[in-house]
Amino acid sequence: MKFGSAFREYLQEEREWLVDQKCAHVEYIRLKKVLKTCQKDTSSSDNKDQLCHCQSCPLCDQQFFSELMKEASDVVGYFSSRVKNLLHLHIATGMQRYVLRLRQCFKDDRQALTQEGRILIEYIAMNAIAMRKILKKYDKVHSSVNGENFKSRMHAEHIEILHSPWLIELGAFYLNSSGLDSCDLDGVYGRFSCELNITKAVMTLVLPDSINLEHDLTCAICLDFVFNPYALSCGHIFCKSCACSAASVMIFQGLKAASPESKCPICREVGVYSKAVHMLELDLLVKRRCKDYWKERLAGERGDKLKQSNDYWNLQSTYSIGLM
Amino acid sequence: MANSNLPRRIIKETQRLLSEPAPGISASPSEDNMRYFNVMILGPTQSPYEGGVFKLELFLPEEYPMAAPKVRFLTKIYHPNIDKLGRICLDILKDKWSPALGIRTVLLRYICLSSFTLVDVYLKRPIHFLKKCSKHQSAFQYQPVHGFYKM
Repeated sequence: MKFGSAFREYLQEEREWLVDQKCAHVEYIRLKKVLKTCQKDTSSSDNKDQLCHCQSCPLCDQQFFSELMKEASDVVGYFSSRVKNLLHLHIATGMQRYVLRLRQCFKDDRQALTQEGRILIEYIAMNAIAMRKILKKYDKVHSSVNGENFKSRMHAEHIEILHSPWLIELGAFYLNSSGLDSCDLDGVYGRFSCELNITKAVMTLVLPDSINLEHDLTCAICLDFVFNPYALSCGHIFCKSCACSAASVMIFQGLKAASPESKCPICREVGVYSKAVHMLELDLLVKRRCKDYWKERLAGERGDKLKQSNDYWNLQSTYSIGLM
Repeated sequence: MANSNLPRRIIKETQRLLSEPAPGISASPSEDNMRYFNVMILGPTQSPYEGGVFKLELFLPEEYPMAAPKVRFLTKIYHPNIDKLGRICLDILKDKWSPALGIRTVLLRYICLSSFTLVDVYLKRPIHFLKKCSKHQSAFQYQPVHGFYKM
């Protein structure tokens, strides 16, 4: 089955869900038509060449890249908010937990959560494939590398569809729900699978159209499996304690207290700590798979936190008394 | 004493360095202090230091990996970025240090440094390490001295 028809079928199949949620998606079919008209215009003016051999095409570029950028950011934003909401229901704390447990006595939400997770994985995969194919088509029609350049621009602006930390969270959610080392999902355009390799600390997401995503779950600072992980807005994942040390803040203060000038230890990008994402599902996955390691790290972090808070308050009291 | 409460990071890095040594680099921790490393670097091929064996000392401070390791050449070497005491002028050991870097990265950067001089971070007197190519060339065109000290 061609991707165009598969994408159309996917949109029709999920129409109710998409309309209800005011969901954004890549306008693959419409953008393909734009490219087709461009191809026709150029081929009618010059029959020798079927393709438009120009580095940039004003006919396409007016609506093409600006719309794609907007669509991509909408898709990522929508996906993030939906996953956040889904996982909030799955890992509720405090009073919410009791309310949800009470609700589960009357209605089993687990099936619904898993179903929504499947829909979201399919949603992000289909949009990523659509984006990839339309950019490839653009480069083919215009014999340019603008599509590739656009991909790197998206990567720089952190709106690359498949590089969202929420996708890792969703994969972790699936592995937590199944309780297995790997799980398979069947979709419109192929199979999705997710597995965790503890020896290498890698989570692999295999999506249709031969998209193979390997997420390294080793913290680049402590060189261990991530514990209490946070994903910075640049996409790099660290343990909370490691990220706090790198940002020169105390663990009990949290990453929000980091200075805007603090850089990511890997890519050295500035201002990535303020929008850091706490990856609770991933932490739960580590907790379930490596119990001893998790307990050891928990004890270590508690000790560090206690020591840091003691030092901090001793210093504060010394200042307030006026001994310094 | 220095070996007690050694962070897991240092243990892991040491194990990795011993099990998968980087090409042209040999690094082993001291028996009495696991934070002190004896390093041997082979002069890179197609560089003025080819065939040379250079001994370095590397020390991981208490704050490591939040602070950069301390490294010094023990073997005398002619290089515009290395002074007569063997101290190296390298960005990643100063303001460009990141906790995501490690011993291996630092040592590999030294090998790169041996092949290329970092003109923008010369030490005080680069002229002492460089010589004029020929009478006909401009006074500002220099080439590195093709000399080193073998152990």
